[in-house]
Amino acid sequence: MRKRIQGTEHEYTMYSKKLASKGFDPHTLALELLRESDLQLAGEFITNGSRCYYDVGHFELSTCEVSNPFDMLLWEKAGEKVIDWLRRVTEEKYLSSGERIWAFKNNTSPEGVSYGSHENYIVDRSVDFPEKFVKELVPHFSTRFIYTGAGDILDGKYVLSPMIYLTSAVVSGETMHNTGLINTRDEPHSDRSGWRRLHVICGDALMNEVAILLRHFTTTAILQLMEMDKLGDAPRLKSPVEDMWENVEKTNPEAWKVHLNGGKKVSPVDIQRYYLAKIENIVEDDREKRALKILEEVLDGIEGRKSKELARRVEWLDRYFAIQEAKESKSGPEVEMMACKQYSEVGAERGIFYKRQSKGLVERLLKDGDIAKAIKEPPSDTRAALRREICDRFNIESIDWSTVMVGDGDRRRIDLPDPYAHRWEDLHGTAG
Amino acid sequence: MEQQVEQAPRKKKKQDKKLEFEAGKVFSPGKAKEEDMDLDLDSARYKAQKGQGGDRRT
Repeated sequence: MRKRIQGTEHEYTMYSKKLASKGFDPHTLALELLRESDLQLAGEFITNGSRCYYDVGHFELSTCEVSNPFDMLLWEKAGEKVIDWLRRVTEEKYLSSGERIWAFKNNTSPEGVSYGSHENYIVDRSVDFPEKFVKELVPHFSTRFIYTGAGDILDGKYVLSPMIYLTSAVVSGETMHNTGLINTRDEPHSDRSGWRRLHVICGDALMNEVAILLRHFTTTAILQLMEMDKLGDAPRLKSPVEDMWENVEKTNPEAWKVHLNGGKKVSPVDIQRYYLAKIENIVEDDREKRALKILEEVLDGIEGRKSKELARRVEWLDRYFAIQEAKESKSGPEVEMMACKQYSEVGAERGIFYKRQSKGLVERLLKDGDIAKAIKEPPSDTRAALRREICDRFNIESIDWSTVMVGDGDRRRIDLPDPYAHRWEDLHGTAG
Repeated sequence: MEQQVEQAPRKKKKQDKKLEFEAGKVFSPGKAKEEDMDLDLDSARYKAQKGQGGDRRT
């Protein structure tokens, strides 16, 4: 598969009853500590090329630009660990023993609001937008949640994907209300004439490594197939939003239905099998073939209802089991909601997901040593590496994704319009 | 557009940072005693209806 610049943005929530009672916001305290740490690079950027900032009650972490789904998984997990470390050092500095700061990677907060976990993919500007995306990508976005859903309890019921549950349109420019499967925001952070940044806001915040990989592997592959004009025969859905609203509340795959134009009804698994067959034609190396095999096994597992085995890779299913287990071992009216929230706690010794991972109940794809390296270093093959090099060489006055102002006597602006440019020599290559 | 970087870059002076990232804190955190979250779960009940994003941040 071709390289494709991509990244994710997560709004992490930190919660501390003690700090709240004193009028302090743990997000801002954590950010202050980050700026004083050896992870700080310049401005809002940290040394691995990711960007951290305060965003209306949340700690937002936008990962660095990566070039493929496998790196995406690695740097997203690195970001999660940065948050966990900050939570711990903030706790140590500002709280007494036994007092806690909790940090969550999910989509609905203890204050009862929802917030985003967004994916971004650079796509060729020449692909018709939004027409081609509606025809060829919406069938994917409205059905992929069967293996990319995080699970949550909303409106008193268990749903497979909170963000799919809350999505209300096929196409929309909104990000807070009336959101769409296709978001029309157009901020490429790169050369506008060549690229579009597809901003995906209908995906869930995920803990499971396999689910994160599949989310990016499938979407990356489908975008390539769209650019190659290989999806002209994609299934035409009659009512994608209504169908996903129905399906997202059902944990039994046999109850899922997708209505096609012409009256036929199929399963979301059938739609995903269409994409699986297409993706098979473009996978090249061993790790891509392995990811394709995992996708096939997951779809087989859903159809075969091999739920225990599947829960190792499908987060909504594992969260569902974790909630059931909590109900069996504890009593009280809040047990289900407590387990649902605590599943997404990023603390490795406290979060239910991480407890289950340490028991071997959840499949792993990454090694901790690789994540530790990715916490400090950017990927070597994207603009993040070049931005880091500029910061290492110069004193920085201001910095953004695609522009750096350096001030070493003469104040100069360095433009970085190509998100794939990663070497110092590339700067001269892009000179006009 | 004139290319911006022509001079040989100067080495930036390293600044001492007070706080050092410790991988052990997140990869080998040890065991915590069993404890429930101290959250306000009454207000955690999400009130938006299907298809309504609620107070979603960007």
